[in-house]
Amino acid sequence: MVTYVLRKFGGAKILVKPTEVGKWRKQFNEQQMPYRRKDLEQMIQSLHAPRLLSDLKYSIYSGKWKQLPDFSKLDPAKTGKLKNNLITLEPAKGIKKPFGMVFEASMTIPKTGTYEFSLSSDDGSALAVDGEGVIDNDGIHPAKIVRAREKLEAGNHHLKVLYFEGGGNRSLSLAVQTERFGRLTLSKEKLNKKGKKKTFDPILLTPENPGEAVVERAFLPDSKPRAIGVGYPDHVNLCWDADIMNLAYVWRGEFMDASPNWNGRGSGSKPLGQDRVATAHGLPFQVLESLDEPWQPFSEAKIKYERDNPDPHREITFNIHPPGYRFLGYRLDKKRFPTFLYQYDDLHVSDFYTPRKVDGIPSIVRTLKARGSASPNTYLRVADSGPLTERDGWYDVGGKMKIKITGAEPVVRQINGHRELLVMIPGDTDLEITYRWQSPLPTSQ
Amino acid sequence: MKAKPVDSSILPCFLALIFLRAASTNLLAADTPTESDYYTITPIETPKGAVIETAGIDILPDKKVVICTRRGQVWTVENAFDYPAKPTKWKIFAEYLHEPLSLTYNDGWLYAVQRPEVTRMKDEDGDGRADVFETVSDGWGISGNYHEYAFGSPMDKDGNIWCALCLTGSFTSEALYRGWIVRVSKKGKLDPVVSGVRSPGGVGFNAEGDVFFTDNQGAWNGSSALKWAKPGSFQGNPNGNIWYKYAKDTAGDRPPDPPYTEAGSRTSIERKHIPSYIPPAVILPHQKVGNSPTGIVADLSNGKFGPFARQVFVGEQTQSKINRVFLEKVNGIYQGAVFPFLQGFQSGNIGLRLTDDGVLFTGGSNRGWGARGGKLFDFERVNWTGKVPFEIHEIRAEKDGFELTFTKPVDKATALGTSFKTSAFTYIYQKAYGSPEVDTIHPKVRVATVAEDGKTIRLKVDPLVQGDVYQIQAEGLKSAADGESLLHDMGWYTLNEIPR
Repeated sequence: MVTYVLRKFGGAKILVKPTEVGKWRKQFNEQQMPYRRKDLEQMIQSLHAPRLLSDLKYSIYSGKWKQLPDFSKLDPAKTGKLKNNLITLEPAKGIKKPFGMVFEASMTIPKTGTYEFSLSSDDGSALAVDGEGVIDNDGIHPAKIVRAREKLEAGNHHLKVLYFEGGGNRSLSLAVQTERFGRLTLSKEKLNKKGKKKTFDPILLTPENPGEAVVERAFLPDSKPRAIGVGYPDHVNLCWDADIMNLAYVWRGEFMDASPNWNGRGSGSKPLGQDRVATAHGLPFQVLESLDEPWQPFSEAKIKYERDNPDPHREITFNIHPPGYRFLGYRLDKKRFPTFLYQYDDLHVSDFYTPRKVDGIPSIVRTLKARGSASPNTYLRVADSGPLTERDGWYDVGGKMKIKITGAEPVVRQINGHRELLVMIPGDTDLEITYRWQSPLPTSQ
Repeated sequence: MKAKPVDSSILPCFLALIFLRAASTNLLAADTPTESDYYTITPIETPKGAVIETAGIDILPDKKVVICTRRGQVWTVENAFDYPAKPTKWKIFAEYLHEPLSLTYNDGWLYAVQRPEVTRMKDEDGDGRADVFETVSDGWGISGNYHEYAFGSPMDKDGNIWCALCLTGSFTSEALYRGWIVRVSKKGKLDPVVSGVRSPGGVGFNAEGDVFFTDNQGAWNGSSALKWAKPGSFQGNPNGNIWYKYAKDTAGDRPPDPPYTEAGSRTSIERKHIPSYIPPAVILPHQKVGNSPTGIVADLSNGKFGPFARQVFVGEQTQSKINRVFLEKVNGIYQGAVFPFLQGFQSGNIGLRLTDDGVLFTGGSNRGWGARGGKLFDFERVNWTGKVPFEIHEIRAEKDGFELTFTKPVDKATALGTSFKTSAFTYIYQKAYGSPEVDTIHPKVRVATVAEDGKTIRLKVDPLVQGDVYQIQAEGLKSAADGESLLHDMGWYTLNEIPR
């Protein structure tokens, strides 16, 4: 559409880049009515917006701080250039430990005037122009915006941004308000003005009839994309992952708010309730030659990717189907409770869940049936968290939950710094696994 | 508009005026036909409180209509053919699938194409709700990106469903076979067969049973188009080409990349460098014809849906309408013309289904994308009134021009070169998003011959540029019987090949 407007009113020489379209898509995601003139003007203006930064360089430093250190006294672990001149934490993407970064660039101010800078970061950051501190956004804190105005002459200035990450979430974005082009973002990450996501009126999913389960296939958090949410009577719920063919997590309370999924272009549903517990969210079966063999992560393949450029410049990882596994679908019983079905080599597996009160507390009872033949030393992994201490057959998996297994002898092993609860699968197997929270759900639910 | 009754108490000059006005009104009535004279649109009531964002539509053996919605529900609808003479009865068959966009019923199973897989469903215990959900194939990748839509064709005569997989974010291919069309058999075998897809809106068949899909304007796609999904072909967008390493047996070797230069190129030029590149069969000029084409359906009603038997109808979401396409093969390549057909739907058309009895069902939504109709969702039925509109029936390419046929005889006195306004243009084939119309020319048009029955006109058009879209407006033509103008006087022909 912008191409059409440009063509119609001149300026057809400007190509509309896909990245611009992506930016506008996010902005106009909720648009229901026709675009107004000022929307188009804003889009066309942003096509003409100059890049303020040039020669952008970065340095990464290792260290754990509670506030910005004096980077001039430290040696960088890594340095580099950012070719598209946008400040980003991407060069530190692989770094898991706390770190710091310093960005330096030449900033070209088009017109003498007062410019308002907005710097947002998690954790601390600071902005200096021509060697003078302009913004102090230091300390350990979640994403917080600090703004400051600075009088600047037209021409080149030196810009420096200091940043450190103390652990947990990380973010860094910088923008400057200009008279002519509105707000220009100088970082890859956009400044979130309001600081929170759009919210919609909740759409609570409920079963068609009381006593039934409700099943929703949708993008769900903390699951691979092929997620299946099930809300059972008695306020117990689960997310089953059909990419991994296993239970991802359970929770209790309200089931699901589908409003983020069913508004705009949709971004997945939101599980509600509380007391979520994830147990062994990985491939269910594996042949272990010895109990020292670690559990394989879900197989992901890397492939070199090319976009808008015939030369390969980055790798992406993508899921391929785990070898030996095939998802077959599910069947619903009279109460609409699903039985998930899949094939693992020569085993046909059914995975069924039902709510049941155990000692007065609503729990989830899982019935896993395997039919066929299994290679020797085939194990099912039931839990990979918590101390896994046992009492009366109940294993503590952490998160206020205990698990009991009947139908096979559980095996607890120590591997890679954590404990795992396994069960050997000799071939035809019928297992009952009970997931029980430690205390009743608060009635003020 | 009816003629006003003449009132004798009014002064003679007024009488004269009224008479003149009445006469000219009659002329006007004959001069400006409206679509609703020929095709009626009946919005069908939906259950109170339900959100029916119609996507996939099929007809069950018991004449219930079954639809799937963007929210993941599958509904059966009784009396959709007779409404409003009979009230409709809606029943949920299944929920909630993951944004299913296509439905096809076959041999007791209802097949749906949803984001993660092709699923087939059945009601085994007879309670009217599906209880078996079998995964026919989940052999493509999804990364969790909202734009990774999957559309499916109805089942073809060999039991296959052709699924078109949108690119990640509509730009990149970050999961297996995004940007491809895969053919899924009833037994669950998945073959990646066509690459180069960008952002499809529907997959279907022409009257001959060949597979077509709609692809939205965007990167490497100057304007939206109806494209021929010839197995083994590349359709223009190279972002999905990384998957050739897994598709050698069914799709052949990876084609060379088109040029990534700022200036871009032209489809007609790159066809020479990329042998497997099949050009868009019928380009749907951006904005003029539509912005977002969707479902595809062929008219196999043998005349029960009007005079367009064996032509193809294409949904248009943004402009809330349906366009009509005539296809022909020239030198082995599909090409043809698009004409406006019917507008005025209440939401953005997504699904399309035309029965062999000549009843068309459609429906859609405007969520996330905006549509002229204004309503959040709709489910509607189109019937032919039995009256034949005066329309350009077909445009065929000739070695020195075009042959136009008409649904009714043309007044030969109006069949002059001056009755036609013609221009030709193309689009840049480039990595940037979309393209303006470029290389516009205004060819000379002469009427070469007019058939005896007045239903065919051969035009000599000079020059004929291979790869151009020819916009032909027959504004001066009138029908022989009533002197009426064409209901839609413009058609756009994509000249991929010039007949030898």
